[in-house]
Amino acid sequence: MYAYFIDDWVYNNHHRKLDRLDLVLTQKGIQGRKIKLSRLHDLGGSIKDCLSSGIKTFVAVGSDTTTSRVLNSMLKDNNFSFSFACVPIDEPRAIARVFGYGSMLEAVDALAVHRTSKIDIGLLNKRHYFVTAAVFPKKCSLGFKSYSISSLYRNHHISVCNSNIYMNHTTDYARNFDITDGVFEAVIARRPQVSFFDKMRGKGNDSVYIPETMFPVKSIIIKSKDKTLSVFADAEKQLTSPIKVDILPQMLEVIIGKDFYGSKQH
Amino acid sequence: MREEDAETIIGASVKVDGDFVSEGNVLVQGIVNGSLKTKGNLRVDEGAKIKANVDATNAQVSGEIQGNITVKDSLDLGSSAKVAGDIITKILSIEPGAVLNGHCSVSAMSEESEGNDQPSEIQKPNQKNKKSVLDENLD
Repeated sequence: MYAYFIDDWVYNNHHRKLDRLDLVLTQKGIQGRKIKLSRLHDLGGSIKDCLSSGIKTFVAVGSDTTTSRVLNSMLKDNNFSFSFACVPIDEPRAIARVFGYGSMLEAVDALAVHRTSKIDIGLLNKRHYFVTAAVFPKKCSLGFKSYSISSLYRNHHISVCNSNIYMNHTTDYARNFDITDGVFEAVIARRPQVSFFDKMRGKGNDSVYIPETMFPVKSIIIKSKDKTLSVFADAEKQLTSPIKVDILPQMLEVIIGKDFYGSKQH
Repeated sequence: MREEDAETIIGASVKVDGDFVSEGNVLVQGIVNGSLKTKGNLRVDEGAKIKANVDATNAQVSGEIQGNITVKDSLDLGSSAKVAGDIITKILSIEPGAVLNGHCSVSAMSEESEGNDQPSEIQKPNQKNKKSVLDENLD
């Protein structure tokens, strides 16, 4: 049996998509309990209710923010086994892509097939869980047990990646980003230099970063002069510095789609 | 070592301070201060600056290294390489144009030393003995 945690804004803004999802789930025979997530919803209580009803597959319906919220609630009281999936309705949908499905219909197909794999999960300051990557502000430095890494320039993108968030620019190193290998990649990426004339022609894209430095890590400390840091780990979080990032290898069982990339599959 | 084989990449705009230890292949394009040890292969690209003692299984050097280099198997110094320090290795190749200031010990490591993992120390010329021989000749 399945439990679908549907975000509030999906009901308001995407009711047609929701009707379509309802229809497809019924056709595939995988309909289940539907829980509407409002801002003040007691998610922990709903999860306990579902577990007592024998539900073992939990699905977040919405965007990455929805998935992150449901996942964090589930992993905080982690003394039960469950399978997890998400159905992307709107952007951002990076977590769904990591699971191997980019659209709502692909996600439903994956749910019907129910092929699972155990993936690594990241943990920030022993409290906040993430699937894809944690992106830190530019002034941070990376601290390891016996050495530290700092960028010589300010305009760099510092992240600790579980999956490949630099999809377009890491063809050479793509195999390093394995979500099932029990290791993170600490990445410092740079923005390519764009000439004034290219900028005027609209050729330079400010949001594009190319990975330049890459370290395999299991545990890392991010230091900064600022006390509070705004970290983007699936969703935006405000954390106090220094931030410890740990990996929980093969922690989460997820339902995977046809595009899932991981060396260990069940 | 090809670029895509590297597990750890120290990019051109990055500085590493401290004792860097790795299990896999390492590619250095930036700055390293402290020490650098890897059980895999090491590649130091042109423009890289290392102020550290270096320890690796195989190494290709095209950048600058200030410190002693210990390589288990083979060490290649490219034409743009600048090394200030002692070298201990099994196989050494130096391209024309490479700069080397230091002592070299190039020999197949004996079975005893391989077991110890620590290569034998470099034997420096004994200054005292030299002087005494000269003194005797003068007398």
